[in-house]
Amino acid sequence: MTRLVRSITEMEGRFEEKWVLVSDDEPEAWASDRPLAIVGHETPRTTGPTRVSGAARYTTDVSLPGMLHVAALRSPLAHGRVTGLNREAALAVPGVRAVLDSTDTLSFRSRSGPLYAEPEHAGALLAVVAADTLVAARAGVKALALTIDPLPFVIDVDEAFRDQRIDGEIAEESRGDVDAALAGADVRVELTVETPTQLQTALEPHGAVGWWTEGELTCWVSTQGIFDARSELAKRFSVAPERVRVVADFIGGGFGAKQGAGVEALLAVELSRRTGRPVRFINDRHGEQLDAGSRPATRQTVRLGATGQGDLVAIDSEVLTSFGMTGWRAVNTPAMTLYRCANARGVEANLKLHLRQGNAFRAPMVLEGVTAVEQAMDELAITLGIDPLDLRRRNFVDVDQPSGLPYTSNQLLACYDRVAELSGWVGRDALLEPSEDGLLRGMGCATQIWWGGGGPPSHATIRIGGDGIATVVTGIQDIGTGTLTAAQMVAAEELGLPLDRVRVTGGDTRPNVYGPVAGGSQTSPSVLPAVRGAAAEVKRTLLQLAGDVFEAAPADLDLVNGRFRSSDGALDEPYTEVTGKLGNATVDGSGMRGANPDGMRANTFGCQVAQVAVDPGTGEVRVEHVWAVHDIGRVINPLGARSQVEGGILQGMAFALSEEVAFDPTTGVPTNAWLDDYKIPSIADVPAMTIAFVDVPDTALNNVGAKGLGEPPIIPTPAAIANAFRHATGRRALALPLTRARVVETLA
Amino acid sequence: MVNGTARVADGVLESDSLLTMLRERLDLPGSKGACEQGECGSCSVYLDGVLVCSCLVLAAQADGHGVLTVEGLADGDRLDPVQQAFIDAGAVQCGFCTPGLVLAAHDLLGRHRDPSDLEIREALAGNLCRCTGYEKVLDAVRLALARRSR
Amino acid sequence: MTVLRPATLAAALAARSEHPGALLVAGGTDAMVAINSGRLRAEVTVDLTGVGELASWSRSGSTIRIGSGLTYTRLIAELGDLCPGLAMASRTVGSPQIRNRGTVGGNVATASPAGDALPPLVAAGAVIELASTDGVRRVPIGAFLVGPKRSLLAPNELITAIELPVARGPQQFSKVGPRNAMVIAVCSLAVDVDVASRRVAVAIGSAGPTTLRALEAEAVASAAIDWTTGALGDADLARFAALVAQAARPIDDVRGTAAYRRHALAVLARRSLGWSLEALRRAVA
Repeated sequence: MTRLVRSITEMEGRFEEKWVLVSDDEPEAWASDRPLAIVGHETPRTTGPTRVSGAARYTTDVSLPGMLHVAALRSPLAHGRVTGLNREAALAVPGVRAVLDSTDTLSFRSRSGPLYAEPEHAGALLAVVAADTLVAARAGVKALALTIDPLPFVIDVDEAFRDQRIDGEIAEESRGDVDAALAGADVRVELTVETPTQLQTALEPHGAVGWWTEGELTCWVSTQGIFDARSELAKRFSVAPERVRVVADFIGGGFGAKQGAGVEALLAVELSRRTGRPVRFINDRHGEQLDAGSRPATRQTVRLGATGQGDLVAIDSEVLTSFGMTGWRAVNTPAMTLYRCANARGVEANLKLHLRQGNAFRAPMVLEGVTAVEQAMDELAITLGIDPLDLRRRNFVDVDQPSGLPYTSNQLLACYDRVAELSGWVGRDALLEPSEDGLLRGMGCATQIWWGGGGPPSHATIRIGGDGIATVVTGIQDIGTGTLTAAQMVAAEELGLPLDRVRVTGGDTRPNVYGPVAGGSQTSPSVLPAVRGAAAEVKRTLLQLAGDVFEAAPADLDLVNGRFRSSDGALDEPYTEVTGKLGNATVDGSGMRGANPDGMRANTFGCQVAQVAVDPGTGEVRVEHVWAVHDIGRVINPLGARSQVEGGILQGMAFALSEEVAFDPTTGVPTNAWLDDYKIPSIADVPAMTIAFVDVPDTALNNVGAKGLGEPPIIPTPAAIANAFRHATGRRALALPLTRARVVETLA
Repeated sequence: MVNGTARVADGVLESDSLLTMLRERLDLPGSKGACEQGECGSCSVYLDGVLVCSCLVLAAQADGHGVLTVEGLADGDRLDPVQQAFIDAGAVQCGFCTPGLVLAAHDLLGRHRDPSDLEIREALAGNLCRCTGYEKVLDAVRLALARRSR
Repeated sequence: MTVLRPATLAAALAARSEHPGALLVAGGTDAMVAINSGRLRAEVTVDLTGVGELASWSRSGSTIRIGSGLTYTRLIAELGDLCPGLAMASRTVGSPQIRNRGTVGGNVATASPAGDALPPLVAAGAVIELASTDGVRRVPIGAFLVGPKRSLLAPNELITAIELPVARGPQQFSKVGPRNAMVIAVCSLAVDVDVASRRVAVAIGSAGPTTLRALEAEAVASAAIDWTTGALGDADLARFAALVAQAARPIDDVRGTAAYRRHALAVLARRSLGWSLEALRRAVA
């Protein structure tokens, strides 16, 4: 039976009640102690051979006959007014087929832009040129001979705050009486820290190939959400969704920045509609670093009050975020949820600045909030003379305090214990002994909190035919996380088939099997239960058919590792004895993610410890080792999971040490929007990493017991590094990243 | 010569890089462009047996020389041991950097019998990856080395 | 754009003479970046990779002549003992892919204040050999580099070779970058110790409009070192470091502040000379 029910869904902390389709036939959650044959075992990625051989086709690789190429003209100023564009000259360049700028009436609706006459950030799109070759398109852009008048701009936080350039309302949330509790606290600490603007820097830039034919629309998009992209294209161009096909077979990373169709797809489709040709629009690296979004910079002040024993009595957090002209607010989430505290207040304002609007970047806002709160907790531990991990254990909380709801699972205390054991935490002060190499060493820790429970809607179908191959169809897209491999594993596990008998597809809206956007650490806990539901249905049918073929009672049969077996062991036949008789018929199953449990909150947790070595001469900070222990429910594929954590740690390390957009204060223009001066880590920077999971299935959350893992590993790394720096040097840098110059200044 | 076959590319512009020629004129998009300034290594290919960033080679400079791209590394359906090691070690996430990394690792193994950890890091420092955290890449190189010495 | 591909030096010089100001491309590690981004468009490009004469080195007595087309990879492999400072600097250039392609001649021709090969060449007193169809001239590198990305290279000339002495004592090169590899220098420093003539030379990169010598620091160190033992007092070493920092003319830019550069140069100076003298003491003992 399939039913429609009202259910609460969550995406990156935004809760919404909606109608969702659920099935009464959904399998029970796998019991925690049930041994599984495939799930939980290291499994190489299903698409590995395609990727290592160069055969994988990313959006940037799509090449169609007659395809046009797009070059973009971007604002050279943080704020300006376009006074001249020579469209005729651009159109006269051989090979140029179309030019669009803000004066064109586009066939899609847009609140503002995407082509601007008065750009409000450097890199904003002013015009696009489509031509037979990229070289001709670039020549067309040059021929436009832009003239632009500068307008006043503001990118400085202090100036913006002084002028009260605040986007909308200042958000305030609170419980208890923070002021009184702070005043009455035995111990108080106050810390103001800044976090940098960080760029997602997926190696494949944003891009799309649009092809408009006879009212049918096909669009290859480097996106984290093919169904979101389809909805957006359908709505904007007023086409029925069924007539829009979005394809993203391979995506070269996203990290939050590739939501929906994106401006590249909208303009590629518009240009295709006008020229009758397929059109490819791929950002060049400079355009990508200027105008594909960012993790916006913050300035945060955290005040903590505690009893002399270390019980938190007050948390007070004020946040200014340099979001661009508008944005959302969630930096105070950790302040309000991370530790047990009756009196807590978060005040958060977004400053209106002439910057590219921030967007999602792996654990958006929460990473920033944790970075400040966890440094303040470190200061509190130092002030109290308490072990920082003990302080965190002491203030552990097992309910979501803003809602008062319990968590579906919470293994944070186990994470603390395990990370302490792995890192040798209790002996960390031995690092403070002078070392022969003259480096200052120290160790710090930080806690992670994030949602990551996923939820409906998410669907999957499985079809098995005469060849004995089970094909899993999903509507998710693998941006590099390995979700499709996890789906293959879950399907094989439930079906009782070897892994190589199961194929899995995604990245295409055409089968019309819905999958969620790859964001918020929701894909695995959303789609895997649906895959398991579909597999369970196929397996029920196969057992039925086996009963027919072998003249046995289906209830007495099981399908294990590709063989039908009776409970007494008398029957043991390969499954192909049954599927081989299907001929051209198929056995189909469909599954859907059930509703989230009522009255509970699903979150992931974890703790990381970092060890750093600081060169007091040059100011170089080397992260020597990071130990990470996370609670993500059941670990589906330990190989992929560890790689996810390692990648998160490295991005977090870069946020703490090197990545930061620099601006020319006189023009408001980023000065390092390339890869030569915007340094993402190389293999030479990699610390030793020790990764572990508590690996206790969250059986209350969904039928596979998994929570998400995309966001969690990046969250505690920067604060753990900053706290390790504090331990090593006795000083706290009041801003990240810990660049050579900032370290030297801090130690002076 | 590209991947062992003499190729003539049509429509090559004088300012095209070797990377552009491979991707846009010879239908070999395995080599990726992610920075066009030699910073990311995604476009790595062999030019006369020497590992180079194909975005920094003028297409004309490759005229008359031998180019080996990631598409030419496998022997038919049999992957090169380095490619297999990348799969088995879990060193592939989004895979956009993988063609370049595979070639850089292949080059290292060709030059060194038993590279140290530091030498592996030096050899791969020009190939940026934003997903994996590189630990699995190091594992892949060590795995390929271990299999070779068996 | 037309690409000319001379196979001999004579043909290259003729092409250069015929198309003064043509873009010269060897390894392409600088030029192609500019071409790819559209910043550079040349009517005529001369590809120098086919000119075999440029891609070799030779030794004549105590002088090494490095062809301008010698790649960093070959330099590191073949000249590590004869020119250790230059080889050390070459090892910090880019990645294997860049070092396989990039040339010392290109580094000199680009004349960037951040050019990694420049401090050891300046410290060693290298001479740049320039050729045209009119003949050959030799210019000391200090005179050749006149400003940021500006040199004495005439529109009809090629850099054919760089001449420098075989190391006359310990050499060091050190560099600070924002990451552990593949970095453009925030600042860099080369120390060249000439034991026989009892002289220390030091050159600094990314710390002024061009690569700079720290002459006063050199004089102080040269006078203070006990050349029979290799000893140098802490106070003198500190004074040397301070004078190196004083010689810098750094600016604030995206890679670092002027104040940080001065600070880091003092640290690099102290360490580099310290390491050099340690090597000297080992050699003496």
